Amino acid sequence: MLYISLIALLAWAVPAEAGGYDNPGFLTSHLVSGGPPKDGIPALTNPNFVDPERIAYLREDDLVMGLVFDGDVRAYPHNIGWWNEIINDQFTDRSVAVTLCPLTGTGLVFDATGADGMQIEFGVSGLLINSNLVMYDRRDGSTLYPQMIYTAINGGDLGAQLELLPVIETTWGMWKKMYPNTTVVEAGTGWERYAGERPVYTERSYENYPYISARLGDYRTSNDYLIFLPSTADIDPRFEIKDMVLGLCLGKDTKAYPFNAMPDGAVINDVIDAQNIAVVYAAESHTAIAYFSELGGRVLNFYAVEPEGNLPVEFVDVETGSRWNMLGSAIEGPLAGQQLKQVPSYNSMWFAWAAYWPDTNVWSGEGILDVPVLVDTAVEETPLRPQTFALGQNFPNPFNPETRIHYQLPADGFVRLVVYNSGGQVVRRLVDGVRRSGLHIARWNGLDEAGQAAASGTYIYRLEMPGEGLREIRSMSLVR
Amino acid sequence: MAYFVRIYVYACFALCALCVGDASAGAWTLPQGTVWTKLSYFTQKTDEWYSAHRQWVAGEVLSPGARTRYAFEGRYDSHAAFLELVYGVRDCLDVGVQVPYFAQRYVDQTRDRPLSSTGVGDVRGSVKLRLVQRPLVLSALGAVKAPTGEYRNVDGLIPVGEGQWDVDLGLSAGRSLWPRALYINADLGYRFRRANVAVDRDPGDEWFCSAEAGGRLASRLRMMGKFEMLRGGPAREFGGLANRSQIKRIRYASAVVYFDMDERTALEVGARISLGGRNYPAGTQWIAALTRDWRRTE
Repeated sequence: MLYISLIALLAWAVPAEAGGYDNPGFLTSHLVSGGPPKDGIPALTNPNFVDPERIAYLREDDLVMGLVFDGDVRAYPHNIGWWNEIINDQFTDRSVAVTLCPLTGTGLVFDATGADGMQIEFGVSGLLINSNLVMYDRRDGSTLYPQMIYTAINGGDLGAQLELLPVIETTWGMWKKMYPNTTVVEAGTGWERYAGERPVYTERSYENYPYISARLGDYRTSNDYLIFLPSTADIDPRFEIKDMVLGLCLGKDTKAYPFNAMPDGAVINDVIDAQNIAVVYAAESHTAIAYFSELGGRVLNFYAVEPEGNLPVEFVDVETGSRWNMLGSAIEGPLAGQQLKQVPSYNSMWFAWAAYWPDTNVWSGEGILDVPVLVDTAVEETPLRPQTFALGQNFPNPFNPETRIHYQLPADGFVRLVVYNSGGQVVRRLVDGVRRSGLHIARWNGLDEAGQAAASGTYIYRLEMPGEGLREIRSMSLVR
Repeated sequence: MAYFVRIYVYACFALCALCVGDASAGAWTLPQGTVWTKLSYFTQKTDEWYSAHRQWVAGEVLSPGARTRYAFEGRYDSHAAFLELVYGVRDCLDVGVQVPYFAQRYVDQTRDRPLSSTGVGDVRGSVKLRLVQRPLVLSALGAVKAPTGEYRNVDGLIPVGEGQWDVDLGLSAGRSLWPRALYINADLGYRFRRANVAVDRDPGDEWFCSAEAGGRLASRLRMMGKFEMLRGGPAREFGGLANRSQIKRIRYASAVVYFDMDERTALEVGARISLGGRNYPAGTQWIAALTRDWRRTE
């Protein structure tokens, strides 16, 4: 549901500390003309959907955005987005706006059901901010929504935010494996609005990617050029400008998961704004999906396993041993039949993500459990098989309110894992007893031995096995 | 992309507007009862422009105004013709009308077919009132352009210079350097532009100015050199939001040679070379024109 909220809600998605976007005037001053005028790029409305065998404009490795509502499975190819950028569409119980900005590689889907239940149509304004599509609301013809922050930046609905819906972005071939019963946009439909005004794009139009320069290469992959340089922040050199990332905005936190950094088949356990999530990544199909990893009040930790089904990633939760597929469905074990809730998120070229979110966190390797573990207690978890002595970096870090610490033991024995403040005083004993060999996870909720909240700051945590003469130390940051 | 079309048409339009000044030789007015006509033709093919915004090319930041290639192999092939008619109502008062015709084509990789548009543009009426005759000739200029053209907003290919009301006010000053067969002239004006309904945009007002010098090279041969400048403000759209990437600026140098076919008829050819700008095509426009006047005694 499209819901209208005011400035206070704007702070949810566009925190002031991320770049001052709570000042709409700031963003409107960054508008540039992207080329075509208003509606010069023709948004489609309610196109037809047909079975896959009835279309010829898609290759198996072309990307699509996939939606499933009440068993109605639809694929929206990037090929359509290259030319039309917005598809206004309707399902039985809701309307959606499926949007793709070719210049930032961002595909986002919004609920477009008005308060009266009527479909809200969006059009392409012809304007850009940070190279990114700016949509306009066709009800008044003037309210602008930059796609990547989906918040009105002008007019009477200033600060209103669209509801971002979960979408799976993957290759056409992979989407068909995920949902063999999918339908897909039929070329040349959804043009009624422009009847007689302009040529209708055909299957031939949608076959080829248009943003290619003979001199500078394929826009999607060439780091040699940007047609529109971002203006809200400088180019962030942490990654190449066209590197793809999965971007998440939760609460006031943002985090990017670079495709190039994530191992193929990775399942990443993480915490963003105190919400436990898991990111699943399959490199060949360019698929990154984020799920909330809390189910029924219980936080699940996942590790990847060799897939047995036809999808490239499967994982098992530590807590119950249930097996999950990359669609977030439990397919075996005690939780079989359960479904993880997908986190609304989107893929983006790095330059655009970093321009909108210059203070973004970036995933740097934490949170991958590469060996199976079993839950022992709420505080500490016990391994299945032996490992060497090692103390992992906590994740998330910095953290609030909880962080997890991995450690490995080479043998059964007495273990201490203790948190100290910068003055060397004991803050919390996380482990103090005999543990079996193997991988363990300890959690610290930021409380001291007295149950009081520890202050913001840097803390030292030390793992030791006195009987083996082993010791390792790391630090972490608690942010209140 | 389509906005390069608009950029180009700005140039054509600016040229069109400036040609009103050419029609009756700068600040000078026609003798009463004289009809002066001009049919001119302009053509330009270019793959470069003065950028409207910041770009990043091969690791370098290009600022607005940098001369660079159109993205994605963009290329223009543009033709424009202007039919002008000026009548000397009094020795000190001219009125004129101008009708443009555009034929434009733009191709780039982002289009599955070329953009093209052809048709009659907006009609422009002008008036020139000579205020001072000598030694300096000083005239007041005025013009109104009405959105009468047949262009439609087809896939972005609409000349933004076309489609809205414009009102020009300006001054023109000239001086003959007789007995040398030379003259100098300068124009300065301001163009008030109303919103363009077809593209839902107020294109923004602009200043224009020019300075020229000309003279006779031989009995039938004349020459003129000219510097022109157009300096626009930001466009406004979507409820009045200023769009600085629609700021238009251009500087041209022109050289034109006139061949007097007889006392009333002249053929002219020339080139108009861009010197710098912003949000405008770069390169050379080629000009050919035929002028003729008729006096009442005829």
